[in-house]
Amino acid sequence: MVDDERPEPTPAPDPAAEAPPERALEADASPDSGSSDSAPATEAPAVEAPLADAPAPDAPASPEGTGPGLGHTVTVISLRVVRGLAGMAVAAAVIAAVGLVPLPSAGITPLGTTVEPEPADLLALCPGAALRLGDETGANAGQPFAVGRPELSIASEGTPTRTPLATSDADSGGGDSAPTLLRLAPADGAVLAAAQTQDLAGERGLRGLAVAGCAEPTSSAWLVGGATTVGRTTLLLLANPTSVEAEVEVTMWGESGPVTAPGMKGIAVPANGQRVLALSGFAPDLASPMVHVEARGGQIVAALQTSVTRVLDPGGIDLVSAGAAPARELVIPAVRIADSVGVASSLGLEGYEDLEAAVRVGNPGETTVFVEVSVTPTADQGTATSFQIQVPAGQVVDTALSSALDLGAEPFADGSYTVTLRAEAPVVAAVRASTTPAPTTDADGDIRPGGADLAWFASASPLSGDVAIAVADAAGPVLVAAASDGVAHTLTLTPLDGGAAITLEVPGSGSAAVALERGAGYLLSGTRGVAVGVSFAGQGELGGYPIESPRAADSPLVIRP
Amino acid sequence: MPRVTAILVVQDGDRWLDRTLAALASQTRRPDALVVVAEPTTDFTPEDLERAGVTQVVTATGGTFGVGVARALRAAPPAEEGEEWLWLLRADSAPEPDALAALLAAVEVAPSVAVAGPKLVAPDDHARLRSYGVTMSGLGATVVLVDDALDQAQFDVVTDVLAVAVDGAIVRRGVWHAVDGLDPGLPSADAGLDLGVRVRLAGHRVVRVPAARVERARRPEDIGRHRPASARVRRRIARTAQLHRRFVYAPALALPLHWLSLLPLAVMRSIVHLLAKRPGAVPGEVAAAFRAAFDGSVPGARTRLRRARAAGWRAVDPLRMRGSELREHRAHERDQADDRAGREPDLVRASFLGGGIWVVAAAIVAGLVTSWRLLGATTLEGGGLAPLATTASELWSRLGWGWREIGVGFWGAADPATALWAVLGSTTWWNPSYAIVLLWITAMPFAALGAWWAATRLSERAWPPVAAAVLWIAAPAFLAALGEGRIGAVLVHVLLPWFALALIEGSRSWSASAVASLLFLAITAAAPVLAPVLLLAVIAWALARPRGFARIIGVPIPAIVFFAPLVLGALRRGTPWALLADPGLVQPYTPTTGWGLLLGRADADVAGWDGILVALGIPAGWGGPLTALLLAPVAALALLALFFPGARRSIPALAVAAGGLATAWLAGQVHATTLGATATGPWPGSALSLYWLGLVGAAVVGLEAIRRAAVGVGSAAVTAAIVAVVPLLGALVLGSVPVHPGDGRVLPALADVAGIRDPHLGTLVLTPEADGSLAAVLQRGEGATLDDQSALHAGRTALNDEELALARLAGNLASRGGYDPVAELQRFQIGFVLVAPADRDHPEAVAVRERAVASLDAAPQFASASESGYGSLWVFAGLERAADHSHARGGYGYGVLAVQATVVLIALLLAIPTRRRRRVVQTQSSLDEPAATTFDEDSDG
Repeated sequence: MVDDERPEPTPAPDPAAEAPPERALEADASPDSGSSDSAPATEAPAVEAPLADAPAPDAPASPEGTGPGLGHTVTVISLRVVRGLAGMAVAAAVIAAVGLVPLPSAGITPLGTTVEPEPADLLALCPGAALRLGDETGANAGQPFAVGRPELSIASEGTPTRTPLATSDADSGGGDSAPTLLRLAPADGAVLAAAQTQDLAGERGLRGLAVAGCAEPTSSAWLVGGATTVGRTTLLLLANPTSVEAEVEVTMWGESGPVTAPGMKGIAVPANGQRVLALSGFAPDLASPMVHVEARGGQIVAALQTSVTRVLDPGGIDLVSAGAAPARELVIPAVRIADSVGVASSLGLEGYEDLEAAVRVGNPGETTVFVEVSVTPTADQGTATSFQIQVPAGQVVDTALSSALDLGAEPFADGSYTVTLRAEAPVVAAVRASTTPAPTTDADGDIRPGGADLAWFASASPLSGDVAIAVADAAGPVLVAAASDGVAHTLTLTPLDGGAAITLEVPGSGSAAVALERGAGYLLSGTRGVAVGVSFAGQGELGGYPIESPRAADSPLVIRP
Repeated sequence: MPRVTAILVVQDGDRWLDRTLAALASQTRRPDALVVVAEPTTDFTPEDLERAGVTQVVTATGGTFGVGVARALRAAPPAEEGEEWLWLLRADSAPEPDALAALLAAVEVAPSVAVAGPKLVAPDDHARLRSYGVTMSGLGATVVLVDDALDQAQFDVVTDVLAVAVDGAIVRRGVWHAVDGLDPGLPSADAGLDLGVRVRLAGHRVVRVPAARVERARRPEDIGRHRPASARVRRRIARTAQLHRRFVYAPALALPLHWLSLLPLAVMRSIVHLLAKRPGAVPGEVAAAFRAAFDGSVPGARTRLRRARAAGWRAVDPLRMRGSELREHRAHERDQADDRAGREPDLVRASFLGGGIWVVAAAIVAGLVTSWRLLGATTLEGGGLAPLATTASELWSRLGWGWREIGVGFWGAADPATALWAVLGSTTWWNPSYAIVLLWITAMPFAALGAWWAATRLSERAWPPVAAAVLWIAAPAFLAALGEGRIGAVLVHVLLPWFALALIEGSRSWSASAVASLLFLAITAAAPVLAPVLLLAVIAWALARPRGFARIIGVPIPAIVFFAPLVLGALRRGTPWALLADPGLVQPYTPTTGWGLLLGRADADVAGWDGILVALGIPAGWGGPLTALLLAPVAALALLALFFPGARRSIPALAVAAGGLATAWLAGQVHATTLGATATGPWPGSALSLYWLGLVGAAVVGLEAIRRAAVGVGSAAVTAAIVAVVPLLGALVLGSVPVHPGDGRVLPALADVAGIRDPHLGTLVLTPEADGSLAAVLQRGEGATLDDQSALHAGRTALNDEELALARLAGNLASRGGYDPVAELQRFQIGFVLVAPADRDHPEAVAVRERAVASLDAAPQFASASESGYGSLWVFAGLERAADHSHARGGYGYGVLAVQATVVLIALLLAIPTRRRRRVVQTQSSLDEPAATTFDEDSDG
């Protein structure tokens, strides 16, 4: 270590430092080029002079006057050129390397651990009997009343307890018409699923098939379906089976954007009780509602009941189950087309336009979204057809499924279809389908339309594991499974009450369908990544519901501390 | 005639021996006896000995000069009668022929004289005095009366002195025995002074004899060394000797006091050494103090002094040098030293008023315009920014090694950046976070000033530094860092030009190299990823400047000391990647391509021309080529510099650019830290700042070289470069960047207030991740501020038991189930649970948030407290606060802190400029004024 606190002594005045600057610059230029320092500093001015435009007035005359040194000049200039070219070559090499050579990545990976939460009771809440506004006399038009009572199909290992909710706006609390909660204590192999069905034959102005799966209470539900236009009634059913009052906020969108109305926030759903709200109270004459229900405090099961009355004829009823949350990819596995001939021949009648099968896509985001909708028949040789729609921000768009068909092509034949949506931003969707016998012409020559029914098929989330399925006691049950992950799956349906298991091969793209026994219970395995729905169809009857993974709220969860 | 016994002690000076013997042989008054004390290896020719009149040769191994004399005296018995003088000579003490005669003549007439010293002169020039009398200051410090002066008889007037050097002096043999010869505790320095003092105290006189001249070829300290002792060694020997004499001369009662003062004095003198830019003297100072503290020769020396003492200390007092005389003497010595060092060459530089001031003024305006949204703010948030702790003392308490309060907490080393935050936050001690606001507003002017200043070392014209300053603040990486809140990268960009300047200057100035070392610490702390390339640059520069090697090679020391505990911790945990982590919040980015890096684009998230072009109807993808086109003039200028004179400046500059680019390229491939479900690496932007530094430096050299064309070409290049960053500037002005004024909180108000009251109260923050997982972070008190962040935490590769327990708790809180969380909440002392908002573009994140919210709503232990931009908050009212563990720093922690503080203190003391500055010649703005040699006047070749 040099100890000198002082600046290094300058032994002798550096000739370069003392020399006029031009020469000094030159003096520094050459030695660094590494090859040689052949140009003495004193001769440098001769080099500099030609580089300047004109002989610089302060260009010093060579003090020693060692002559022109042309050879040196050439050497120095060529050295500089070589140096510059070498530098350019190195720079080009560096640029090419950085731009073109891929480097491997190195380093650490994110941390996380999968937590298996303590198991919770298995719950299933069935939405209860069909409702209509107004009593038998037509009075109390704002008040819902229960009509009849639904039949429950329960599929379980273990014996669940059955409790009707204590209170309801429909004044059916505690009775058979009230929403019913099924509860099963957790145990190894305990499964629980339930579905309800109610077949209405026109009593109190309601006709058709209303089926619904019984769901677990959640804090968020996306409901797509219904309408509040003339003759269409849509009720929002909010059931709170928990022991805590739930504070519910309803957000609605329609064909012309978000709906704002008083009373959509802070809706109190009492513990162990049900609230029924008419959507028309928020937005009358809305053709395409989409509803998001968020609950704080207690959790709820939300559903829409939608019914149609054409002039005076009851024209169908359905219970709309909650579908998948907004996503870029949505699957509506089980869309049922029934009696397509009857529907096609009734479309021309006034008020029957909405029999046509349609997909409703809602965009809760803040940018316009392009959505590609594919319709795939589950039949073996079925080929997918698709179309694109544009959904502006905050709007809901209804589009007939027939848009997928070429002009003049045959309409969709009877059967099961899977509708898949791909969007560039998260959307929600559901498909509406209807059925009706072909109209008949009576003696007077008047056209008499048949008894129609409609159904909303909600989107289904891919299942996360084995699941129990309860098949509602309704006509023509068909299960449709669609792979959402592009991989072929083999599903096994084991009847819970014994019997031969059914195997269902689901292709990687497309879907597969199998007919089930009405009112039965199955254990479905091999389902990870498959979206499953069940549909029902009979004469003037149509319905369906998606199958949801049970116990989503206590499934294993990756935690990153 | 008195008898004279000459004693020639040959310790190792064989090469001078012949000359000395010859000189003795030619004495006009030959000594009566000549005893030679030699090593067994010493080579004599018998004729020489004969001719010189050697009477006896004593061979012995080792020993000091004093031991040699004692051996000679044992061999040469004293004369029976009459007075006898001893002439003490060393191998290199060749006397002039009449030296002995003159000495004897001087003492003949003065019987009170016991010691007489000749003029010790340089062998090659007898008119140059090496030593001619020694005295002491009032406090006992050695004062060499004559050191390396031309003999013009100016010293001949005064002959009575306190002491003379031993070599060449004659001493009365009786007195020599009475005072018991030389002190073995003073083998070289101060031997003569001590002898003189004791002779004076014994009642005799000491004189110097103008007519006698004896050569002195080397200093006494150099004996026994292969090479002459360095200034550092001489200083240590002198200090050791002085302390030894202090213990010998002091009254017995004062001895404990002196002993106790050794260490404080050593520290104080070390500080003075550092201030005087003599860092090499510090170890010697400490060594001398330790030597003196355990000096076994003191009792003997005190006895020797007491025995011979006949007079009081008053006898010496008149001969001491004191007061103004001493000050004058010292000033004279300093002047002499400065003369020997020679004058430093002038520094030629563009005038600040001629260009620098305008560019800084423009940068102030640019800074105000781009940060107008932040003007009223007291804290900044967004991107990588978070508030700092609320008091400056908290900031300082994070330094060193100790308990890191982040997540579940752990013992470990602090990031070196904590020191940066502490310094930064202390500038606005009343609200440390406000310092970040000020930094954001003033970053542009500071960066411009630094760049202008650094560029004046590359060019003397007025225009190129101005262009450099503008290009520097138009660096894409800098503007991106300002927008994304990457405080480390912003600091790097502001400090890099200053560092370059200090490093260049550091080859000749300790002050500058100390500043460079502190800047090196700051830059590597702000962007550890730059450490390897900067270290290489420092080593290369040290090798390129051998004369400043010691000054430059020490530049990384403070950084090494600050990083050492972190490196040890990371290696012990097996997480070396963590060392590369950017300080502060982990902030993931989307890596860009190699082409993007070449254009100075640090990540794919920053605004580019693509967005604007798409808005204009031009397809995306043309943004890159357009930027390349706009930056091409700068690159062309940089490469052009290679074709012109000034390669010593342009080649290193381009090498720096290549180093920065390579670092950025590698940084983009490294995953050093994790945040939730993402792993991310050090941000390449700080390395791109280095790349830009090199490019701009080379472009300045190019501009300098093209002379008259510089203004036109430079303006075009600068304008194009500014246009290239218009999207970035626009994003800053319009506020479409993450950084925004904040409210100074990390947690919602309720938890924040509770956290201020109770700094150990826990808040569990659950953040939904895009992949459907849930990040669970435990925040204590007000939450983890910027200074709480830790690279060891961010770069850990395994979860410990505490973290797994926390994960279990979080997983069950986010699930409906039969779990009773009270015990675990109690254990972690969690009073609040916050579920952060989810990104609506990621449905899985939304779903997991809904699940967590639902299950917390349903949990009877929690009460929903608030909904805000921070998320949904629940209170756990049943928490019983347990006594907090105190996290004492421990011995290792304090040790680390002490070492770091010492090193920084040393660097700071060295950095204070105390020496005369170089003369600055300012060039005015005349553009065709020729360039001179600023950068190269210190060239070694």
